[in-house]
Amino acid sequence: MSTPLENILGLPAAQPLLPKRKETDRPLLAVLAIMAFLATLALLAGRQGLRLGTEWQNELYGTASLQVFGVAPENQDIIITRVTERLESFTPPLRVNILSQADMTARLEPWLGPNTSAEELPFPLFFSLEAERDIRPEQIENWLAPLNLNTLVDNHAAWRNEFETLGHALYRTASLILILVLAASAVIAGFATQSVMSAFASTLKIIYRSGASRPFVAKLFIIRTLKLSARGALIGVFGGLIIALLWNGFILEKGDSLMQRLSLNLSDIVWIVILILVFIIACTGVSGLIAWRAPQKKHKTR
Amino acid sequence: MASDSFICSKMQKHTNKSTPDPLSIRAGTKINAEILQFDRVSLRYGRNTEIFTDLNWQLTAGRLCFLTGPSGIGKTSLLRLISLDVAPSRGHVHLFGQDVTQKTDRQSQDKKTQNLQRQISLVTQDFDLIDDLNIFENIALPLRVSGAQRDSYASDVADLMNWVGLSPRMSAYPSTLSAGEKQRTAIARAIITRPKLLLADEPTGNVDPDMAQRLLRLFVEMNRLGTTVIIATHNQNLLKQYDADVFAIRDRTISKIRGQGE
Repeated sequence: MSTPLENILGLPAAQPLLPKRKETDRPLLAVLAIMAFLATLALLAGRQGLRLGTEWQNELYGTASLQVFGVAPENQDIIITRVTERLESFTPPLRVNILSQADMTARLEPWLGPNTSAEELPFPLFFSLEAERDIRPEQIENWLAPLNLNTLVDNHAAWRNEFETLGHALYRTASLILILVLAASAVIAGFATQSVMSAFASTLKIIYRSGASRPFVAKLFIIRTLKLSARGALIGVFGGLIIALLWNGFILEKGDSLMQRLSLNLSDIVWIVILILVFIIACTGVSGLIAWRAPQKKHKTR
Repeated sequence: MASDSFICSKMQKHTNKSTPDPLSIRAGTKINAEILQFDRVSLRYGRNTEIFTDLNWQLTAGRLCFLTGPSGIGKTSLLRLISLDVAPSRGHVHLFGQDVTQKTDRQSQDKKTQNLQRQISLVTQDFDLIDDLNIFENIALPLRVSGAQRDSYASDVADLMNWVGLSPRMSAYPSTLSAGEKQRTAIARAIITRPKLLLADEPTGNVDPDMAQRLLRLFVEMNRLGTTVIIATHNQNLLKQYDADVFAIRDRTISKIRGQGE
């Protein structure tokens, strides 16, 4: 872009000291875009993993199952009534539901296989409990102790721990991949800087001889890498977002409330913006460092 | 067309003022201080034979001098030593009172080299132009790397280009220039900052006699304003035309064969 002064004097427009070189810039741009694409997928996968674990935990939070064993069929109604009445006075307040024989059979059949009939099994009485806060099994068991029943209460803590572990494992794995991708991108930017420095060796020699400082030369490469990495990051993130949106469409189509809660949200977008900034800073930082530390070429003397 | 003095005065404002002037070599002040001192300097490239052996040489600030000798004797190497392009194999080189061969930490060494290089300009035989930049940008390069804003120097660069007859080729690239045009570009770039020490390696080798005289008059004018000028040449006619110190390189050392005013 020419300034008014250039127009008046008929001067040529300002030129960059290190002009674009398609043969080196395009491959670097392509690699950086791929790395940014992988980084975006890793970031979103990590966040999905963490969210999945949390959502599963939340689904089970405040729920428990109560099993009463050894109840003769003719006593079931009276035991159900007594247990329900007893639990109504429990603190915190509980919502108590008795699972019907048909429901229990339906839930067990997939686990039993075709050769075993669920109806032949000695089923316990099965209650599902819900509260506004976490239910502690020993408190329920102690509360029901006066009824002198053989009870077992499960608040799904084991499952919640499993889900938490699984969610964090997914998150950590994806984070590790993200860090590796970012590190690899920075290394690639560093190698590319060395390559460009070799390509522009004679130019750099003249620039140094004209009195340029190392920070001045480093700034040239920082600006160059900044532009390339920003373009690469935007292209890669755009590609990653397309994949994420396709996945988003798929999970919304499923219509399941848990899955729907896993869809892309505003915090994902904020994290993607942070990823773009980190990606650019990592690439330009390494590029600037390499350019700043590179020795000035001099004739070898002995 | 602008006069030599006009061009030199235009360039004076771009002189690097951020660095101290250790010897105050500007015109009319303390002219007898040593700008350059070689102390038992030897130089050889790789495992080749030495080009200089125990070379002792001193040069007073503000002088105009010619280096002469047959091709391959070491004129260019001597200029490269002075311009910090090569380091001596042995001995000490002092520039502007600083020992440039003294080893310090890398940061201090860089700063020292950068400060000194901003005070020295070298016109090489192969011109050292940047192929990707047009002539205007090549000439403005030293100003650009010193951090000057384009608006502050654009008209002066244009004036200098006009003076060296390159105005019509302002947007041309070095690959499209004749050897003479390249040489004028290299000289214009060397003098745009009005350096304290100007080194020129066969500066008139590729230009016609008229342009050669004009370029040399510019060097003389630069010298008159305080710049120390060292010109390497094997053109004996030049030596006769100008009142200058003349040094000859022979037997891997340097000797004075004529003094200024003699």
